[in-house]
Amino acid sequence: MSSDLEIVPLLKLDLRTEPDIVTCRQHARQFAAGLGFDLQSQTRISTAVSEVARNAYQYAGGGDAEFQVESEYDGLHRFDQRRQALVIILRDQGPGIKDLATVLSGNYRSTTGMGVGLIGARRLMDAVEIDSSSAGTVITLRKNLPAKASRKTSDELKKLVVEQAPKPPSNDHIITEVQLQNQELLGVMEEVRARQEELTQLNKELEQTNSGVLALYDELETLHRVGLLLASKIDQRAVIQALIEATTDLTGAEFGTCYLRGGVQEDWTRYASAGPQQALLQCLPEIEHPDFFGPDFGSGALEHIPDHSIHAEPCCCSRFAKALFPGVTLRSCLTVPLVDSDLAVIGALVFGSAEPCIFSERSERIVASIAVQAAVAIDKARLYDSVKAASEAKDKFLAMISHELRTPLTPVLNIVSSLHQDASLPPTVREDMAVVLRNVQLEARLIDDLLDFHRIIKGNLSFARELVDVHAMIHNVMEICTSDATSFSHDLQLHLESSRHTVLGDPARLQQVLWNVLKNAIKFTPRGGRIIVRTGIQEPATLHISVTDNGRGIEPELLQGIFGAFEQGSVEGITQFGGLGLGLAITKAFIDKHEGSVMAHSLGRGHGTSINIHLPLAETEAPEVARAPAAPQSSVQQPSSLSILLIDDHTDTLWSLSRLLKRHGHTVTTASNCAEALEHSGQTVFDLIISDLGLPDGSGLDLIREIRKSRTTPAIALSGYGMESDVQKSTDAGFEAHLTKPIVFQSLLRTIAALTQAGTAA
Amino acid sequence: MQDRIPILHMGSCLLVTIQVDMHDRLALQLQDDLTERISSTGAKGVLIDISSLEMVDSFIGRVLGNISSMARVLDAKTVVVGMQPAVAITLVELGLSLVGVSTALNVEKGMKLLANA
Repeated sequence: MSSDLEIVPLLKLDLRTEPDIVTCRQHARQFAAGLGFDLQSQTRISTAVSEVARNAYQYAGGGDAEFQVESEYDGLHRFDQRRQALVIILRDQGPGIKDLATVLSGNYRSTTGMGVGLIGARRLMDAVEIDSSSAGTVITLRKNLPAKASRKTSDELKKLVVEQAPKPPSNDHIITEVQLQNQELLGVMEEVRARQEELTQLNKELEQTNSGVLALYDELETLHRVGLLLASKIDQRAVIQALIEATTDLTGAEFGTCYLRGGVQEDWTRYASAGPQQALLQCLPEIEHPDFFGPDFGSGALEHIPDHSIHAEPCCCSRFAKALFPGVTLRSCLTVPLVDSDLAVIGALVFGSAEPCIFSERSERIVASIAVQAAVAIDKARLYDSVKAASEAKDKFLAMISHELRTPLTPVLNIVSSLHQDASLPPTVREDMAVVLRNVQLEARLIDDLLDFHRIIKGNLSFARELVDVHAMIHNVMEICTSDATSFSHDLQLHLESSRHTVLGDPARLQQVLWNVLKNAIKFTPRGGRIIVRTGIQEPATLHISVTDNGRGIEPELLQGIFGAFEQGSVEGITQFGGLGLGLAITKAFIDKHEGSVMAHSLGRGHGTSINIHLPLAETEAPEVARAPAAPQSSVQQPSSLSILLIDDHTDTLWSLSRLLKRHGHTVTTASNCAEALEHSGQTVFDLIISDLGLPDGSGLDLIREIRKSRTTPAIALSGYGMESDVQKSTDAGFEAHLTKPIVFQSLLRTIAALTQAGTAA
Repeated sequence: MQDRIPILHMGSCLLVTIQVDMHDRLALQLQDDLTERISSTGAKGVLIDISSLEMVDSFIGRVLGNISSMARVLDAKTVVVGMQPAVAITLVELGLSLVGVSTALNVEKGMKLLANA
């Protein structure tokens, strides 16, 4: 069935402001009234329009409303019965209704009204069409004219429009709205300004706090730096110099200086100064009388005179100013006492400047804090100095006493050794002599250890660099130790498996190392133990020597310490096993000097010990002859009677050596100084000269040079020093051989034989 | 256009007669003003006459509800009086129930209600 639809537009208005909503709903009510809707329907229509218009304004930021009357002609009804409806179309250009389905189902909670907007409108109107897309929303509200109301012709409708519309759109409400919005804007701006001011204020506060924090941080940093500086120095002068430099720089003083109180008189001694004007202090005496800083200075508080020229009271600063000298104006002055842990004033820091008010509260605070640290550091430095002095004194004493103990042993050793071998003596006496000899040898060894150790500490132990055949040396040492091992019924095994066994080093020292280690193994293994000496090669080019025993072992916690001086595992060891506990310390020092390493391994008490030595292998092999010095040279053909000139200033040594030499059938002439020796040498032609190097009226080197001018007599040097350079010096001076004290008589005899036979051969 | 709805102070009551079609901000302004006045005067009752209102939509309904709740928090009772029958019907049709808002037919009954409270 066809029907014609006639639409008569009534009014179109914008929805831009809140009052527009009011206007819109009022129009809706008036049109409804004009069209013959009853009061109830008018209210419904205006309420529905209000709801939808508000949505357009609130959610879409505005739009427009169009009022129309729709008339439908279907040809069936009479004109006054045709369907006529008031249609209000509300459009907006907003983003569309996002959850239309949710909204229409009534589950959406509005934030403006009471969640009824669209649904409410649907209830109040006859039809609501919603066309929502992302380009905008169009909502069409339709209310049919009531049946009893008369249908309007187009003309009537136009009249209706004229009745309502003629009111020219009043701008009043827009202006009011703008005014309102302006006022609101002004209010908001005022608030923004207030907030901004608040923010600025806060910012300012923050900045102040920040700079305060930075300053504090800086202070801490400085304190930390100075603390580290002070902690890193132990020498008193260095501590004080570092201290005064740091603090003078920090306070901005023109000069700073540090006084320390000390000595019997409790005088003040100026130790160090710093700052651009420190030269001013040169005119001051180094030492000031005890009351220089005044009687109150001991109270411990610092004294700060911002401007001395307006400060009349006598104070430390004024004394200092007076002392300084009249020509220099001292205006700012800061005096800080250094107080030690016993609350005694041990020193003072003085800072000064010709400018007034140089020192800030901050400088005061920092310097006071530093002074506390400085007092501790100075205390520590003093303690260190005294400890160092004590230690040095101890070392010196040890060295001296060792030397003094060793010297008288030499003649005893020589004589006892000779008596022991003297076949003319009754066997019982010779047995006694053997006991004496063993013990004197032991004592000599102990003292030699002490001397070595002392040299190690002093760092003036130097080493020869020769090719040494370690296997040969191990054989030697085994020979030396065999008697000890036999007396303990130890089973001594050698597994010398290394294909290369030559190292570059000092033969005497290396032998001592091996002897120490083996001796320890013998000493610390109970009777009937087993000791195995092994060698092998480890990469890269390292000789590994291990001495393993099945003896008492070492507790794991003590393993680390056994290479320290005077360590014997535990206290009981010292009493049980004797010795000074220097052996391994010396061993380690020697091995270190050879760029090797020594380590001890033990599974604990009762599980035996293994000492592992690693030495770098030499690139070339040792020649066969370069055996260790103590290699036994059997059946030396002793020359029969020689005429010997023997020179030594130690009477007993001279006497005992002379006696021993005489016992071997030689004729001995003795001299105790150079002059005497030269005299003898001038009168007699000797077969051999044996001379000590340290003589009271000159050196043995000078002596032999003198003798060499007229004689070619072979000469042997006896010296306390056995370094390569010493031997070289002896040879250069004219000695044919150089023997190091303590002299083993057997080696002296061998050397004599070698020299005189060579002489005969030549 | 009016930018304030006048509030009258009568004894321990505040009396508001809404005689214009309020736009939303005006309604909110009334809400603020009323709570401010309740707290400053210590009023125990608020009477809102809406007899001149030809329409109460969901927004105004919510504002009336808010006023009532806020007044209750401030120890004052609110009575809305004089609602036109058409408005009442529309409110119900719209789906609003004005929960928590006391209503009375006219000012006199409203005042009585407040006096009894």
